[in-house]
Amino acid sequence: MVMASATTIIAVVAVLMITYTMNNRFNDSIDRTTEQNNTQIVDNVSDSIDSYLKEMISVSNTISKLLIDYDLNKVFNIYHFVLRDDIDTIAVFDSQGELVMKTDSRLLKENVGIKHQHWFRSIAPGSRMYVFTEPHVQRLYKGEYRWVISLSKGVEWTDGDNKHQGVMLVDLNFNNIKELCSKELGEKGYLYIIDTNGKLIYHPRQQMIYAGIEDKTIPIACALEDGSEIFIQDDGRMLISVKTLKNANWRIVGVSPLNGLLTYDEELRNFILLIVIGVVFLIILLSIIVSFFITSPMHRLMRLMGRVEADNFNTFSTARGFYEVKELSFSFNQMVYKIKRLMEQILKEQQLLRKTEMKALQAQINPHFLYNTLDSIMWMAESGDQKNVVKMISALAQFFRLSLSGGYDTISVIDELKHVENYLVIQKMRYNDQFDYEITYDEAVIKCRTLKILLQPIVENAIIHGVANLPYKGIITINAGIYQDKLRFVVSDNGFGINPRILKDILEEKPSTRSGIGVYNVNQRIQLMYGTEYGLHFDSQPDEGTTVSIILPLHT
Amino acid sequence: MKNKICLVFLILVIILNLCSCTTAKKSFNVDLIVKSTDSEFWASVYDGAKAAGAKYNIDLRFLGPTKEKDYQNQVSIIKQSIVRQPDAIILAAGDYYIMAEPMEMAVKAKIPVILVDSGVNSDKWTSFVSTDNYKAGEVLAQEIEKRVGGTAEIGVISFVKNSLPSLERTAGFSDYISEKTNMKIVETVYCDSNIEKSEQLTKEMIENHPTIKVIAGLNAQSATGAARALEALERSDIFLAGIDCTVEEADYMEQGIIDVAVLQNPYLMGYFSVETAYNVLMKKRVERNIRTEVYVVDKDNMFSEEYQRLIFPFY
Repeated sequence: MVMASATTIIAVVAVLMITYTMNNRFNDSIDRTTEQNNTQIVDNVSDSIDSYLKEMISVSNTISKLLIDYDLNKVFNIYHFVLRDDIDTIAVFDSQGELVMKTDSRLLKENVGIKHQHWFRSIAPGSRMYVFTEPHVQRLYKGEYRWVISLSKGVEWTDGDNKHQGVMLVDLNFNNIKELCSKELGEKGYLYIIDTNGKLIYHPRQQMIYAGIEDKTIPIACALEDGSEIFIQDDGRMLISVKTLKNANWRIVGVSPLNGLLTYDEELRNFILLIVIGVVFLIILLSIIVSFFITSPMHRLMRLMGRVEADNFNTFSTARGFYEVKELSFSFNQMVYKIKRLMEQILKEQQLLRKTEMKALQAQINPHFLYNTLDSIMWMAESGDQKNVVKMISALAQFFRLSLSGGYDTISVIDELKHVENYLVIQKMRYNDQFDYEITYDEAVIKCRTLKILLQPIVENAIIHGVANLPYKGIITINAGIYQDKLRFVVSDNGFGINPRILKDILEEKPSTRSGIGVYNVNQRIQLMYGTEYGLHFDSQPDEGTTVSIILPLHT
Repeated sequence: MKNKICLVFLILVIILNLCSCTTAKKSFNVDLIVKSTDSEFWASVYDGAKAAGAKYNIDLRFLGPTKEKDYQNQVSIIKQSIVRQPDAIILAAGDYYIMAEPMEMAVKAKIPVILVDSGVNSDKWTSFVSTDNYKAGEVLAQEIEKRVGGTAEIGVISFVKNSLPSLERTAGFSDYISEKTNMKIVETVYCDSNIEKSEQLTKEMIENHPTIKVIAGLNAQSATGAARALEALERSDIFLAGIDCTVEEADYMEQGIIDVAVLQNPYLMGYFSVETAYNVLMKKRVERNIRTEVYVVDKDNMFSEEYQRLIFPFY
């Protein structure tokens, strides 16, 4: 379950990251395309409006040229501009605001107050300059209040010898401008016109702005140089493109929202959303399947492992699944098998150890030894050798006490040496000082631990087969010391030595003689306890003597 | 196992299909029910509503009786609208009392109602977008005091007796006149928002009260009718004050027949009402009362940049 959720989370994060990155990349390219498009459209529109204004200016120029001769009829006859539905009025007023001529026959209303009107005052009569006014309501005719843009131009004409100056008015309604600005600019984009002072000339939602709902892009567009820029507004990112006209101080502004791929195209956004959801579903599904093939075999292995912990070594894994699971299952089986074998081996070794120890003990309480010793004591007692009787009995008592040593497997080196000394005391007396002995040791090892009853069987061997029947006095030396970081006992005698044939096999197989068993037993016990690198080492020269080394680990 | 996987895939495909069905663009249907579809004022409200509708992707239906005096018809129009189950209704109630019941029916049918311009005798509506009509009456009285003053006698031409703006404007006007001035209201008449009737009533009023110095028309039709009467009687000496200013009234103002007008902003009311409806449908918090400003115009400032924008609609 944990694995399923982990993979799901990782995969979902990955999918989201990919989506996010792709979205950003797409948005960048959409931004660039939109910018190119907008700039182009704004350029086109400003070109057409420029040429429209130029046309209007040339109309006024033509009329003012005709006017110079003050032939009004000619003006009327040649020009019928009134036929144009984008021109409301063409009229000429003198410097006092009195009507001089008009291209149509509609009557001006009384008290029209031309002199006070903004369009009349914004140009000097006769100046030959022209100006486009902001949109305003024209009130030349009764009951007619139309929104127009006025082109005012200062004009001059002569009437005989009199030079006159005046103002020509060309009122443009918005028919043409509206059409020119109705170019589509993306799905929600629009075009509008402001003048260089930020006053609105034309906007597709002009009435809305007049009623008081601001277009927040207008102040931004005012501050912009010609070109395109991206702005972030309350309702998203906006691309604003601006182009200033040549024939008037007007600027064309194109605004289009840049909502990016995901908000721009709702269908696409939903599609991507669906894909993401689909992938998430798919991932969850796959996670479940994967966990079915991996996690559940793991669980089974875990349960099996629990059984192994509870000492059931007959467990066998049959888990199936992917390669890894199979490997794991195989290793598990191998491991269980090995543990099982090791356990059996340890068990066997332990049993063997007990058995050999028992044998060593049995060897101690050898009835022959006891009988012979007691027999010796009896003879000593009979001969009244009190002193030796006490010595012998005390040695015998100590010998047995140390043999038992409280039931422990190991005893200290010094105790082991005492044990073998007691034995030597007894045997020396029994053999009537046939041999001498010497025990030396390194002070460093006396506290080390050693298996008990190691030296006694060796010494017994040395007495019986070495020094017992010598024609001269035998010597047995025992030394305990450290040799190559190991504890070493060395038992040497100057006896007959061991026949090389026997020596060769002495540690290999169970010998038939009783004393042979003792030596074999010692070696076996050491190796069972400490491993095969430890044990006995025999060095014997016929008629010169035998040296037995006992190598043990250095334990304290 | 394989069957299970197939099943899950099948479910997935079905879910995906269902999802794609709902991806159509979200838009709302809103019914705008006004007092009269044949009036410059309500046309302007509709223009504003359309502008907001375009911005917020709302499909608007413009409904209402042709003549404002046929407010009885508005009841059945509201009921028909409820049957169609629009997402919201924007209502300008023709009668303060009669429209309360159909409005509550709409609310009961889980259609939020936004009132525009004129209220009803109920408080079940969600939001109310209007001019502060009491204040409009007051401002009108204030202007008359400023421009005429003294002990002038005033004739008031109100419009529909039980419509809330009429009640409020009349109250605001007469409260101010009686409390803060020495002028006197000699008669108040109701023209049912009918220009011809207003013209007739004005003529009768002048006949009945020859000393009358001021006439106040409390809506566009009242003031227009009064202006026509004054023009016909050649009595431009009588001070005519009005609320609202149509193009016809603007002409009378230029001629000096109408002397002062208090302007509302019907376009903005329409815009705000749809914007409010949108906010309600988007579960955003909305103000219970949204008030639009009033402005004072006269012959001198009517062509100023600010006021010509409010008087003359831009086409």
